[in-house]
Amino acid sequence: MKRLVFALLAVLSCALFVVPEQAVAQVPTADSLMGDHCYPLGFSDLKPGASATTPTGANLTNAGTKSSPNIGYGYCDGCGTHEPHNIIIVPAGGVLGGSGLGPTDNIVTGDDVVADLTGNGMDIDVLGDNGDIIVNGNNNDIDFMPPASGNDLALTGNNNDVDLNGTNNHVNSTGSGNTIHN
Amino acid sequence: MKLSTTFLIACALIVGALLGIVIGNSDRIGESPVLDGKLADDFVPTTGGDGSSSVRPSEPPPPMMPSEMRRAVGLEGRIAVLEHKNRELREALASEVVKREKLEAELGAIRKQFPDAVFLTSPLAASFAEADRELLAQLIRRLGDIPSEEELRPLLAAAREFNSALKALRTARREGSSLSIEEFAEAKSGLAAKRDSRYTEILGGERAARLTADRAAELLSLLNSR
Repeated sequence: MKRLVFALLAVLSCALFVVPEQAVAQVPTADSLMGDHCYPLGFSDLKPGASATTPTGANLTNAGTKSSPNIGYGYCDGCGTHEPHNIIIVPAGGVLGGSGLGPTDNIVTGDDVVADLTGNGMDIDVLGDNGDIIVNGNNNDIDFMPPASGNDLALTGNNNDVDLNGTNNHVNSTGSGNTIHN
Repeated sequence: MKLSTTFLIACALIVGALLGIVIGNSDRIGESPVLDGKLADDFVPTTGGDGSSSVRPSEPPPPMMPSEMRRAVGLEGRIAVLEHKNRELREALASEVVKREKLEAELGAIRKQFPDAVFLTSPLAASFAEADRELLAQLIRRLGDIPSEEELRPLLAAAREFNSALKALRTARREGSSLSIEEFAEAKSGLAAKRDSRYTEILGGERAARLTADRAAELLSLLNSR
């Protein structure tokens, strides 16, 4: 009886170590993908050809045709150390036009996107490949997330900060004071 | 007279037993896989459901204790020694097979985790130009496996064609063409659709879907599901 109890305890101890490791493996979360600790309060799809105004007053337009994907946007509360902000996701082949964007806007781009964004202090994460992104404005923070490749970024404003990770990504700057970290 | 009959019966039994042993041994000599030069016939190669091969030894003879072997004499003793060696060889071979399968499993896991790195260090990669190697490594990284050489070359051609057309489109826009964002996006979408269609032709739908999976779309789906 005593041996049986010890054997059961040994099996349970092993399960405690093994099971959680398998459970968390390979499961992406919004936090791990965004590097953010907040949760969206409602999330909407912006259909091709439609426009919307975000809770913080930015204007978004899905400039794609009928065959283009919807653009997702939502509002995150300020849990943890993060301020409340918008998350705007442009999936593969998405076409986003945006104006009035600012420090509360976090834009994430996928494969083959086209984005023409106007605003100051935006946070842009380039996740996909072969995107064409135009940023008109100042003090924006643009991060290319590996293994993003083949993207083309045009900066027309000043004092923007770019983390140029990944491969074969290009930045064309016509403004001044733009910093590009390789 | 009584003692003599008993003695004769005992003698007959002993002679009969000896004859039985000799005849029995002669049969075993004929069937012995060792003496017949058929050592390898004892191993029956099998193929598992996953395509891996293994070796299944045939039913081993009952083991003989060393003390029994020492006691054994003549032909029977030699056969016992050979059978013992045969058994040792089988065990050693089975152990090597297990080791090889373990190493192959480890190598398979490495190939799955770092397919582009495995490709870049392969002799096949040397047959491609440096720039093409990097492009192929990107494709392999997204695909998660290493395509065959027959697949790699058309994949590379499709990716190069898309990159070249996109570069021309970008140059046209930079040089002041009258393309609006919608028109530019439409042209780019057509190029991407042609490329993805080619990927599907080469790899089939399932693998092509892995190649073109979009991380931003995955994130959007995840957030929408909350």
